[in-house]
Amino acid sequence: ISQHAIQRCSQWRCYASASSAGLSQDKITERVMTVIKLFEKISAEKLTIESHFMKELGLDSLDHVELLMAIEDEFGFEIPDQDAEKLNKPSDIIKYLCEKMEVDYK
Amino acid sequence: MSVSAASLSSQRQRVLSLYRQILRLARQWPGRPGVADPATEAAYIRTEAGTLFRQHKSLSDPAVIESHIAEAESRINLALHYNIPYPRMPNLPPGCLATPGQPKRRTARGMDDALPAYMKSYKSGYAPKIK
Repeated sequence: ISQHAIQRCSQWRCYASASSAGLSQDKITERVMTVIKLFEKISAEKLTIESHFMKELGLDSLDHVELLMAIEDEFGFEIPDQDAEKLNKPSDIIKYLCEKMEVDYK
Repeated sequence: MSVSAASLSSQRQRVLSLYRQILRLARQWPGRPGVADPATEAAYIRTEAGTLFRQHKSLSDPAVIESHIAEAESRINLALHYNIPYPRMPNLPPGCLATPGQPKRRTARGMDDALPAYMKSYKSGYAPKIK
């Protein structure tokens, strides 16, 4: 996990309810993509919302675990193992977070 | 030795959940106040886990993978118990060996066998026993 991500994550505060923080799908998308871009094993040029971590971005399963750890740090709650193995693209992560934080997903 | 796909993938899940457990441990690492800085030790835990897990990434024999899973679990339990993430290295004073200098092959094998389970990855250049 890059030190930049850890320092940056410590500057965020996560609020309990989506409405009070004004969370929207766009904000979640922005935060997720920032975290993924800060992850040093991913090259920013190949990254899109639909790019598959293992097949297109060349991550192995251990890198995938570290990436989800960074997402957990950013959003402040734990992602259980059985959910984690299904999150293979940034769009999957965004959809999952929207469901967990009760934000409308389009 | 035939291995079913189910056992391989469940081993894989156990390995990944172990890695996740170690990273979660590093997040909340208390350190030892006055003795050890939590941030340094947390960084050590992450690099150590990353190095060792990737070193054995391409192992295929389930028995060997099991022994490495046991190594990881024992290191986790020891770290939790003593609050020290570093392994306790074995001590071999210079006057111990019968023949001075580098130990001969048989002695080296005996020394390797005497190492505890959590030192498995630290054994040097030694092929693991396959049952």
